[in-house]
This record gives sequence, C-alpha cells and structure tokens, in this order.
Amino acid sequence: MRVLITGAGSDPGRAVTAELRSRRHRPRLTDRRRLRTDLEFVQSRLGHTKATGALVEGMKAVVHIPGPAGAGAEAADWIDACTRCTYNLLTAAVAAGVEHCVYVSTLDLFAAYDEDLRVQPDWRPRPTTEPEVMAPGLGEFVAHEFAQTRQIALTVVRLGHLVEAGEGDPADPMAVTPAEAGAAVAGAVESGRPVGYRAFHVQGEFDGARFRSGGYPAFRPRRRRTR
Amino acid sequence: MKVCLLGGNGFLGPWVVKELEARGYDLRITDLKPPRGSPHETMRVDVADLRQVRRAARGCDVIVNCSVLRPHRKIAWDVNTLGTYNAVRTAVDLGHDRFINTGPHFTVTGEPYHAYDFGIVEEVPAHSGTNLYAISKAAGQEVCRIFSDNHPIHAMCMLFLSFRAADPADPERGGAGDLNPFTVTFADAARAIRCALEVDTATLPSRNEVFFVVADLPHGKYSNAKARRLLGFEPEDSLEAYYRESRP
Repeated sequence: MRVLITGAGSDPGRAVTAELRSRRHRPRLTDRRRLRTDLEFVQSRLGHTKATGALVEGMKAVVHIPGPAGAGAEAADWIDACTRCTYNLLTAAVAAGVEHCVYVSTLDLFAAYDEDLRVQPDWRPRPTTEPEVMAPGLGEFVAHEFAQTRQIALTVVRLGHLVEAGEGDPADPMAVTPAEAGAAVAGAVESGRPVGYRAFHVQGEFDGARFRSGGYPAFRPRRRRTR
Repeated sequence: MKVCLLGGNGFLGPWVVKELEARGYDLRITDLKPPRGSPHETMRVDVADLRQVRRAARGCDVIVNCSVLRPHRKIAWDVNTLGTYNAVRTAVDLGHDRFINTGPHFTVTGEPYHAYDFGIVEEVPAHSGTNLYAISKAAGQEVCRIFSDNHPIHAMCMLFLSFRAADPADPERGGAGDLNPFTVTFADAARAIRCALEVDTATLPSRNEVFFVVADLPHGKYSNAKARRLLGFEPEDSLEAYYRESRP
C-alpha cells in the first residue's frame, strides 16, 4: 500500500517506517529535516503549497506524526506544526483523494484523569497547557473536523511514552516500546479506513500500566514485565 | 480598570473603544496599525508574537482580543490560533481573572448547523467544519477552554458574524436585502463585550463560556438567550426593518 509518513525522522516516525517496511508496504517519507534513507523521501514543512499536494498524490493513506523539528521547540512551533500543518496536509489529502489519515497523538492528553479510572479512547481529552501536550490535542481537533464533515476517514492513535525495552525509565506507567508503537500504527493502516472516525490508545501491557489498549484488534501487545 | 484591546483598530475595535471610554475605562489600544490621534494609549502589536503581547498587556487588568484574520492560509492560524494562545497565556501569567475572546459563531455551529437547523444555541459540541476562518478561530477557542480547565481564569468567547447598521438607509452598513441570520450592530456587539467585562464571574456556570451575540431577529434561527441570562446583555438595536416591507 502507498502510505505517506510525516514526521518520519521522529522516534515514532522511525518505528512506523520500520514496521510498514517490514510488512512490505511502500512508504513515502517526509520530514522538516533532511533524512538519510533509501526509501522515497521528500523534505517538507507542510506548507500551503503545490509541493504538499504532490506529497500526497497517489497515496492511499497518510500517517501524520505532527510536531516541530528538534528539541527546544517553542509553543509557537508546536501549535503551528499541529494545527496549520495538519490543516494543510489534510486539505491536500482530501483534494488528492486519499482515503484514510492515521493521526499519531499522545496519551498525555488523558493523564489528568484519576489514575484509578479505566479511561477509554472515546473520553474527552484533557490536555494541559504544556505545548507538547496541548498542541497534539489541537491537531486532533483540526483533523476531527475533516472526519466529522466526511471528507476523509480518520484513525487517531494515541501513543504512550516511547521507551526501548530494558532502557529508559522502567517505572514509566505509560511506557510503550517503539516496536509496539510501530505495530499499532501499521495495524491501523492495514485494518482499513473506518467509517468517519475512531481512536485507539496504545501502550505496553505490564503491571501498573496506566492505560489499556483494549478494543483495538490490530494491536495486541505481549504482556511483559518492565516494572 | 485598564483594558488591553488587541485588534483595537479593526472593524469592531473602535466600537469597543467607544463603549468602554464612555464608561470610564482606561484603555490601551493595540493593533498592527494602531489608530492615529486617539486620546488613549496606543501600541503597535502583532498578536502572533508572544513578547509583543506580553509587552502590550503589562500593567493592564484584562485583555480583550478582537484580533482576526480571515483568508490567508498562514496568517489566519498565526492570528486566530497562535494569537489567542499568546493572549490567554499572557492573561494567565499576569494573574488576570478573566479573558475576553471573540470569533464567529461558526466556531461552534459550523456550516451544517447554519444551513439546516433552527433555534441554534451555543451549548452544543463545537463543530466548525473546515472553513479556514472558522476552524482557525475554533482552535483558538479550544485553547481558551484548555487554559480555563487548567488555570483559574475565566475565558469568555463572544461570537459574532455579520455587522449591520440599525437603519437600512445607513450609507456604510445599511443596505437592501436579507441579513445574514447571525447579525448584530457594532454598538450592541461592543455592549456585549462590556457586559463580559463587568459580569460577576462567580455567577457563571464554568470558567469557559461561549456566548452568541446576535440581534433579536424574527427568523428564530439563532438565540441570544444565554448572553441575556448570564451577562445581562440586552440588544438595543432592532434589525427587523431589514425584513419588513412597506405595503400600500
């Protein structure tokens, strides 16, 4: 399947690329920064330009991983990358006849709920005002309007914190390995477009895990011990 | 009370100035092109720049954001979304108890509502649709909701769309033909903003409230009941003349 991956140089972008490639898909990659890859790559800032239209041409699905390039990005960079760029991308995707957008967001949108609540993906996001949490939520808001008006089918995949197995903070209750994240997003792509909109929560399964990934047939993480 | 007015030299801003100065408010009028010859303090401010917004609001008690940009694919987001973030974040940082934002009613009740429904109120899940102006302002409104969820500030969003003169014979804002169903006079819109500045926030149901600011119109398409009930807003200008025909 022809799939465009935005934010391909990010940690989730690399994980999704590796997984889709291993499943014999033909991803086209894009990022704000230049990437070294043997796959098809187009550097793009997702502007309101013909180049964004060309980027989505011929794609059946788009995996959109919004965010600014590099550490130390300011609030303005986050907001711009997640709102305007999402709008530009989806406007171009709709015009090009792309059927399905998989928007990769963050489970941090739900961290404000009481920890003993079994939070479901259809609950209302409760972002903080930290740009790296609020902005992906605003991007969901923008993408949601395209799905609500039936212009494109939308799957939102909210990821926990990417932590390599056996590395990082093993006590992070929102940990998910890059391999799990990649498998979840690839599963969303392969499971086809939903009617309108759907959302999934994705993190590892271990004792003390903050969220559950239930209800998502395309993603079944293996239970492990990280704590 | 000192008010920092962002976008103070656009269509609505000068009417807000007129309304507030008559009530003795101290004003700082800011815009990309601030008014010349104003008796009030003026300042050139680009709302897309957080530092400029902070400088503009220093020493003020409240920010009223009347800034707006419609058709430009980059600047619409810079002004309508990022500008609102800069304004409400500054208000929070300065410890303000309220922030007044403005936008079109399409931020809440986008095209599907507008085209099909009647008795439309603002107490519904917001669906702007994907019109650039509506969705970029709606994202700004969502920013207001998130800030008021997380910080002790009341963010009130005043929604307008079309402005006309009370008298159809007015050469500038009058005219023949039907009105947009969501129309109000500039003077009434400015009065609504003053009501939001003066309302006792303890009487509001939440820290994030959205208000339709529309004239009393005979078609029953939109309701201003919430603004009346919670803000004490009473439109003074009737626009019914636009709908009446003189019959022999």
